[in-house]
Amino acid sequence: MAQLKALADAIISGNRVKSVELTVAALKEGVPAKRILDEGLIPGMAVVGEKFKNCEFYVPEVLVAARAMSASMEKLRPELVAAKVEPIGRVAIGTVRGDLHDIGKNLVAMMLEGAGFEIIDLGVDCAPEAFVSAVKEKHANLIALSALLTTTMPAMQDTIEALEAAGLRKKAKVIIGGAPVTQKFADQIGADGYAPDAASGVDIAKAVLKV
Amino acid sequence: MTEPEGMDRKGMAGKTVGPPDVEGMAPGNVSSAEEVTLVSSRRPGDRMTARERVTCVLGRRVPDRVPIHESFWPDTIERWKREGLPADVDVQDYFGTEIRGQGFDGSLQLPTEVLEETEEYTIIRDANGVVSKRFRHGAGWTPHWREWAIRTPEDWYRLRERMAANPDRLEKDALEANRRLRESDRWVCFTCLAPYEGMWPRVGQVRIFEWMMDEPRVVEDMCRAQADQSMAMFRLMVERGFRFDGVWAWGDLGYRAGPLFSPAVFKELVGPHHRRMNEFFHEHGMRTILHSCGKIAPLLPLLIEAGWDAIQPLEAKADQDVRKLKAIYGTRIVFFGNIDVRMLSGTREEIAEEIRSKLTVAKEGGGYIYHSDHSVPPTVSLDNYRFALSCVEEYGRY
Repeated sequence: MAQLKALADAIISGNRVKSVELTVAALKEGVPAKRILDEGLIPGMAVVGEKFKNCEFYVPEVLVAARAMSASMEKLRPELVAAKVEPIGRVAIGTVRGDLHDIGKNLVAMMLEGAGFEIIDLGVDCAPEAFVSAVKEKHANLIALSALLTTTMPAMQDTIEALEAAGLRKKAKVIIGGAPVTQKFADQIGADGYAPDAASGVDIAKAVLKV
Repeated sequence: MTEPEGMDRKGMAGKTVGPPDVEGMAPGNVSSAEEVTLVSSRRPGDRMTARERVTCVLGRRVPDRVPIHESFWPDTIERWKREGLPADVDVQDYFGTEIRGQGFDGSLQLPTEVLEETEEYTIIRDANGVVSKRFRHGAGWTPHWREWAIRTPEDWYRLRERMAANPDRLEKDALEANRRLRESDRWVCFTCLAPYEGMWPRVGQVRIFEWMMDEPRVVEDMCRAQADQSMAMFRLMVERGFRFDGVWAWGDLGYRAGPLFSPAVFKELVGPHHRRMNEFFHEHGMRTILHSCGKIAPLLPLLIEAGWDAIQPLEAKADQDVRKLKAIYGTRIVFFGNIDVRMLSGTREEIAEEIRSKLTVAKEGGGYIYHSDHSVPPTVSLDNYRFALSCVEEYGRY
């Protein structure tokens, strides 16, 4: 559908005004919200993620694209809820206890949302208990932990241990990322996945949930 | 992004500070005369002073040995004191590092206030009008920015005049500190902020990225104002009798996975003002060092084109490897750093191999200054650090 292709293009170019216009127009024309999501927003953000991985896009281009996607999502969300459209996964995301840097976390959240995940954004400096509650009460099936500092990395392990202690480890996969984090560290602490950047975070999230 | 013990990055918060992401680090900068000691950095066998050595290397000539500089996180120094570092020493003097710097208050000079203070954290409004939360321990070097005085292009144009150079940006006894530094054998540099690093903390990182796309001319103007301030303060200080051997500018352009923004954006908005700064400082006989964290290799050709004489610290955890970079760019730029702090936290064999393998390549033909790949963290023991310096002594001689 040309209109949804134009919506994807508006997202890729970070044109928030146009992406909202096209989303609203498609809804008015009776295009189902799920189709707008699947054929407009998600393909648009997938191209953005690929371009980011290939160094054609950098963080500023991704941010404005994600901003356009989020603006469209605002219009779509009520319709998706009304149509009882299920997300491909529920992600509880946050920076770990003691860590206040949230740019990377926000970028990952936006990329995940653009891939069809529901985002439960727990913010910054999140205690392990916050992630436990998100699994218990909000049915998150994926935990995404971010740390910028070597000094806060151990809080990732604390979070995994808290999920285990609460008997919830099998209910949610755990993926981790952030400047000092490595695959080796992910393996050491028993995380299910590690992503070196936001675009790869989407791939890892899908892989660990098998969606 | 982040100031270890080593160079002050006076500029962002209305007082002498390091780079905005590393307040509290100690990279060797001096604010007041009482901080200046005249302990020699001379090591047995040296045929040059530190000043001669660093000058020689920045000119891409071969010195007597690789110069040594370092930045330390405050927690590291605390750990080392527990491990036997004398309590009353200046860590830079103790290890004989060879560079000292002097900066200025580069802020918007707005009134500062403490909004909240607890055992765990403080919330302050700094001299740029930025409200941030800072933990007192552990992660305290990396503030959580909450609110900015500059939220629109109009805010920037209203506050832009507050970037102007003036003597109030200097500590009262800064000239005396400079005189004392000049009496030491160290290479003494003027420290300042380069375009981009000086700007994003004033408006927020997300906003500056958005403006790169939505308001590129505003971002370009901010780069211009930052470069103008750095050059004007240098001129003001020199006119008042300050003397420097070179310039060290803080200008983060990368993060772990790559440049923060595209080479095209650098070329259009940021690079021209890097070039203006380099042309100005070169005209004044200064060699220039750029500090940029992260994976900056994709920008190196543009940074060389912009005139930087040296690049620091070459973060190994961002896949920067001086052995590879030397082969490509070694005749055009001096490399400063790249010793992986994760290796310094390892075994003696790992430390020796890290230093041997990098120094033997990087020092070839001159053009290399020893430094960690950012700042020495508290995972490195005092014993390990002493051993690392013994390896530099072994492999860094010509």
